[in-house]
Amino acid sequence: MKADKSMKLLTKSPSRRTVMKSIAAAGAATMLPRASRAAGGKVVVGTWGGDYQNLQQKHVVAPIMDKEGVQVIFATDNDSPRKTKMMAEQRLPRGSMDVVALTGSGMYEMYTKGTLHELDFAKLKNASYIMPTLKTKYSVPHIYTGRVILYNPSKVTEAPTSYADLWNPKYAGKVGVIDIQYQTTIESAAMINGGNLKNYEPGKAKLLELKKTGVKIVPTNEAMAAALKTEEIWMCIMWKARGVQWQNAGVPIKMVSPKEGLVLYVSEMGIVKNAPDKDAAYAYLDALLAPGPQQGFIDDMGYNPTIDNLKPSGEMAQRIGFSAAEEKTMMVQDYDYLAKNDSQLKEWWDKEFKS
Amino acid sequence: MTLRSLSSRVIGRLALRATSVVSFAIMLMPIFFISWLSFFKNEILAFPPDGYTLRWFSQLWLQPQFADGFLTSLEVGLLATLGGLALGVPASIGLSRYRLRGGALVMTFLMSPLIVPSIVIGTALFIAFVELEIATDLPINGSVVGLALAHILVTIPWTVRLLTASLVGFDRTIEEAAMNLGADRWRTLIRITLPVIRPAVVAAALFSFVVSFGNLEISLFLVGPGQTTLPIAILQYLEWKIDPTVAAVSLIQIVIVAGGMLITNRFVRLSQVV
Repeated sequence: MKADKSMKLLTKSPSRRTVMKSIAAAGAATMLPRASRAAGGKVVVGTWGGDYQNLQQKHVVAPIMDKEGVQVIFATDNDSPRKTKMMAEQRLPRGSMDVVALTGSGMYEMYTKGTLHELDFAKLKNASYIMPTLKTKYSVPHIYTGRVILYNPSKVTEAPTSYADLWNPKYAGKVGVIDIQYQTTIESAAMINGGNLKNYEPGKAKLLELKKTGVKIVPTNEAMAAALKTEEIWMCIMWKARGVQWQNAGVPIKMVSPKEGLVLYVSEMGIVKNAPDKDAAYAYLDALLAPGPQQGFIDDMGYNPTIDNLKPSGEMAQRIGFSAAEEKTMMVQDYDYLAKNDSQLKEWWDKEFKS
Repeated sequence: MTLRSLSSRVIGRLALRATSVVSFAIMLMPIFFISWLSFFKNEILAFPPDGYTLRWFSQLWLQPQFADGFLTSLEVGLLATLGGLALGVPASIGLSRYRLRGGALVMTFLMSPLIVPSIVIGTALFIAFVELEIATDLPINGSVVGLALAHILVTIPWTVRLLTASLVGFDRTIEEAAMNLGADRWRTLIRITLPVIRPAVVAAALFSFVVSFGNLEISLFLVGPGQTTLPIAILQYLEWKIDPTVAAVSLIQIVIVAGGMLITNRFVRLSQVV
């Protein structure tokens, strides 16, 4: 009986009035501005808290999302719980988050696990401005910075130019590395010893040489900042935006890009496959890429914009930006290589380098 | 008393005092440093300080997550304490009064949340709640109830351990006397047993609250969108900034908890409890 009814509905010819109504409705829908399609929705953003959350509230939610009538709720935690939640919730028809913020490597990992929605960039007005180096099919880049050499100019009088300068015997015992940055440290060492972003192995031998010179291993970024401040450490590898924050906090450092190239740290945002409100999620991603919010993150956080219709200007360009020559050397980590090799790199770091 | 024995007693007393002073110093050192650091002028913590300021306390108003986190932690801590006592008190009485077959196994089971790393408990509970949601449509993950249930789990070992220790030395003849005089089991429990073990109950409540309030690993997985606890808010703040604001938050937290303990002390002598 039910099947018969359905067949009748399917085969029934629509009246002329119905057809005209449908055409008019479809036409009206296409004329609506894209953002208004998401109006009235709710988006749950899985993100880091602290300043990153506050600045999203200030530069994305208050000026754009509130006006569009989209309610934004932040779900704040660290990468690992966020990724665990995404994987565990895969079987739920509706996940607890719509948008997630992760590092480039974390986002790739989640994409390969099938938890991310492949983006329809036609739904993002600002997508055409995304820097080509940073574009992926499963996320939008939010902010980025590059990995540079930090040094104390009163102690390291000749400005370094290469990661190799950390191995200069003149600075033996005054060079520091950060435990939680084991990936980037091995990667940097590999880049001066015949390796590359697809092969970190040559970095291991090079780091063992550094170990013999009495390299200081500090546990966290914060410990490194304190060691630079007290001049216990004179030189290290760090993200430029962090360096700018430390300069602001009175740490006596300068920064220089290594001639081996500028490897980028990218904070990305993607849409979860089982996001309850994908339209609102698209509206949020689009707002992140708008020039206003991007400028806000330049001014308040010291990170670079990921869109090519905005550049840091004035003093900020000098402090956080990169020259055209530096931009040519920009590269993104090979996330696939990292995903496959992370555990053995960590094991080597703990057992061979730190022991 | 010989001179030798007198001098050995004096040395013993001095050694005891010295040990006490060192022990107290070690215990108070974190509180002392947190208090001191919260007034440092420099953003990057380094000694000696560049000067002193109250700026970090005024900065707290710009971080609403700390106030939100404090209230959520307080709410969950109170629920977990009450829940832990509701389960822990009968369990302790049962285990200490009756020679149950497998009693030791039950005790080990109740203690197990102390043995299993909190991060594992958090992950396991999160996955279990997801499975429960798939089966029943009940959205436990992300609710205060779910978070409190998880925290109850980590308060139970403290409650059971403290209460069983108290019940071991309990003179049961007092209960028997009450029952001989006509009191039923329930009345005996309310009028005799609980008042006698009250110090242990208060101690269990205090420990439970502190354990729940400071829990980070379990909360990280179970906290819902739009919610945060104080330890998570502190961790998240440190993700991007390293100034003494977190020391200022911690100092305020210490002052509030200390105030609570002083008020409690008016009703129950804490020195007899812990």
